[in-house]
Amino acid sequence: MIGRTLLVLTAVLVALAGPAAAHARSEYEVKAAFLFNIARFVEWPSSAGPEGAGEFRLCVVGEDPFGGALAALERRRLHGHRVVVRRPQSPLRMERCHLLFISPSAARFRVAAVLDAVARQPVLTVGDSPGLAERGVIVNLYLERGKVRFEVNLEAAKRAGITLSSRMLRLARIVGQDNG
Amino acid sequence: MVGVVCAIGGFMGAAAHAATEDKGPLLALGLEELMEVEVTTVGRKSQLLSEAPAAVHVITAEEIRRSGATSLPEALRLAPGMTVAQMGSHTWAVSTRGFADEFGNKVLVMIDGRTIYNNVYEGVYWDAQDIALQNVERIEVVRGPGGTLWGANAVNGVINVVTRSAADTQGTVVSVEGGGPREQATVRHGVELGPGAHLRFTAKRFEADPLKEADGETANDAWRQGRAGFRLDWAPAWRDQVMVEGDVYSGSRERLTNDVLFEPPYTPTVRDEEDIAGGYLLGRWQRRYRNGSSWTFKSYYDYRTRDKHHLQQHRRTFDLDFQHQFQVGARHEVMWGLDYRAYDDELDGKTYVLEFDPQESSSRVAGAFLQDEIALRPDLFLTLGTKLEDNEYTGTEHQPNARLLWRATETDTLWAAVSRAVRTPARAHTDLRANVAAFPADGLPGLVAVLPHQDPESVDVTSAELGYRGQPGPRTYLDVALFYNEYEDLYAIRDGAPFYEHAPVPHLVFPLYGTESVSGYTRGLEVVAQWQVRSDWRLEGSYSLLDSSFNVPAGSHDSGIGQFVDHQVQLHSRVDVTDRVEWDADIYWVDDMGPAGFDAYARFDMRVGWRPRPGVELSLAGKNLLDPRHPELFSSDHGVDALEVPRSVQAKVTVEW
Repeated sequence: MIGRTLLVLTAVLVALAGPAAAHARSEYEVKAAFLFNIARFVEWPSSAGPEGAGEFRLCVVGEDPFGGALAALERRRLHGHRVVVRRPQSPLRMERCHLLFISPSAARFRVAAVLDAVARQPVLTVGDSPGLAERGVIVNLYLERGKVRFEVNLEAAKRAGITLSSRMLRLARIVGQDNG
Repeated sequence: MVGVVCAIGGFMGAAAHAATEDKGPLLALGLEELMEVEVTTVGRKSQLLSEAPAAVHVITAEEIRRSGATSLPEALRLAPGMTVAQMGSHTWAVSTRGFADEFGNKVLVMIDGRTIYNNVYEGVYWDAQDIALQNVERIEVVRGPGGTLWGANAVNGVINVVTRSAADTQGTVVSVEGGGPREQATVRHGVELGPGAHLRFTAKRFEADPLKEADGETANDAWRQGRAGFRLDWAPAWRDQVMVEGDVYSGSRERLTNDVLFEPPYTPTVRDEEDIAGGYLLGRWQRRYRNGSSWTFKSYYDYRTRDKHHLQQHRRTFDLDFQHQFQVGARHEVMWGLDYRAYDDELDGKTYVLEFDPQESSSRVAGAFLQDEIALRPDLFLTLGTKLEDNEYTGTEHQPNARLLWRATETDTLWAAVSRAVRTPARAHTDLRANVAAFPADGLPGLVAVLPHQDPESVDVTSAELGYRGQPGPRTYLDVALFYNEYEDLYAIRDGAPFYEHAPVPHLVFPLYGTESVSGYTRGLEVVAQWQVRSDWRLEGSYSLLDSSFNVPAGSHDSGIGQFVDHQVQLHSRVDVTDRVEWDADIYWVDDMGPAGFDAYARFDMRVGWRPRPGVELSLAGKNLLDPRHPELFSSDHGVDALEVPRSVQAKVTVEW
């Protein structure tokens, strides 16, 4: 009897949880893993790279959509250096980031200012809002049929002095920059 | 494949898997494999504060640092549309959309979800809430009613102070400041206890300078306090986040007050030193699930004591709070919650001036809320919700709202809201007799007394709001809010017929009674504009306009309502002069507060910060530089002159390692 009640209860809970619960991962948990992985395939100029700083600074500008997912990265290493997560507010602090994630809130309201702040600096800019790559963000994540994909603006990478590995580029959609 | 767990286990039993299976695998995958992982999208975009269908402003830690603020209410000056008036070295009136008063009873204030609104007196004792500003991550300021989510007393606004996670405050920071409004030393130390577990300790001690009297003499209102606290953050698995924090504090504040005697000099001024102490312990457990649902359980215990010339208070608060949110289908995001709070207090009148009857009292508040955010279209969101809250004075209060958000373009958002909120009565209304002044009358001495109010009602507001947020140009941001608030049953005082009293000596009482008889409206406009002039220079300006009108019945005084500022202008400039030098300026212009208030004033603050090397910061912050001193608001402490805020320069050194 108890077993049966439990079964019914479980069925209700599963129904509430929805079909996705069984196998899908939360969007930003996957995107956090993308940030980590993409950074592995990127080379920074030696003077500005993580090697020079002693730590790998992963920054989020705007409201952090990752929940706690970035905290898990902090125990990891990238290019031999401990990952630290920062939330810079001033343009000068953004320059010191190795990877700068432009959150949806920042993408909507101040992407030009953020890009200005890191212009010609070796900062890997990453976003996840439509049209960001065209506007000069180096890597932009997007969703396609429930899976995360990414597009790359090669000119922007070149301007920043950052090298993206061909292994990564094979998987990316390459976009050009709007001049408008 | 990663994450393929059986359907039942996925929801019920995954706690067991969490530690071993959930944390690592995604990060271990290569890019190709990651691209095959399916994701669920939650309605998170609409959860972002910047896209909330309400007049929201976030004060960031960086903004607080660069404003040179030394206390929480001073930091709140940075919020557009907020009226912050300093009335003593330890006393501020913090309000929005009108009703500025020392006991600003229409704004609900919380620190990490713990209410610091005092519902004996209705308002916030800022002198007991002087947390270390270095630990603040952000302050979320909502203008407009917030009763549906937050419960009673969020009539005109909600302020939520969010402190930083212990994981974000590792290492040691020592900061010393002085020369200006206060001398203060703060020490913070954070350690990692193990994977995912961090702990920090903070201790601070300060001595605040008195303000000035109108004639420039120092006022007798010094304030000092010591405070020590900790915060523990533990993420045992991806899905769980546990936080425990606590603080203890002790200190005293000075001020002038008056006694009441039945013989000359009747109402003499006396110096009072009030001892203030307390502490709290708060625990919070958040769990989230793969499908985007999550719940939060929170509980806290808070003890506060104050002992002054007229009154000794002890107050204990115990709070339980549960909140759950989940997705139903593709369009609904549902949130519901239950809360329970118990108060237990002793209010012991030590003189004839304040008499509480009964002295000891316990009360409780229980509430439930339900809110549904419906995605009508990909760009159109409707939020419907209500809160039912039961209190011992007025029974069950109903606080519904309806909000609509339209993402008109990629960079423009429009929102509209209709809501109702209440401010519930407090013990200071129902149980307090305040004998405020004595005077010589014919034959017998006379006594003015505010008598207890037997059958109080809640103040309620019905509010309509309209807002726009957007990016008119590539480097500009604009936020506009319009509101119309209709109030009923605002508190006022009416005269009663004089009567004779025998004790302690024969005298005549000229009674005043509380009454909820005032109605009226406020309406206004708030505009916030940000402009990134260059990559090293940012400007933010705001303007708020307020128009109000009230019906006060004959025989009543609207003295309980507070002050209204019709126009306020703020301008903030943040310049990075070089990589290491910051130059910040803040201008506040505040219009006069009507017949009972003061003249308009302009306040100019400026700060220069220098980082000679990483981890070391020196700064000089000048406050009120244009003006030797000015008053900002009357203290409701009768018989005491208003104090004035002087010009000051504060120096600060922060070392971090």
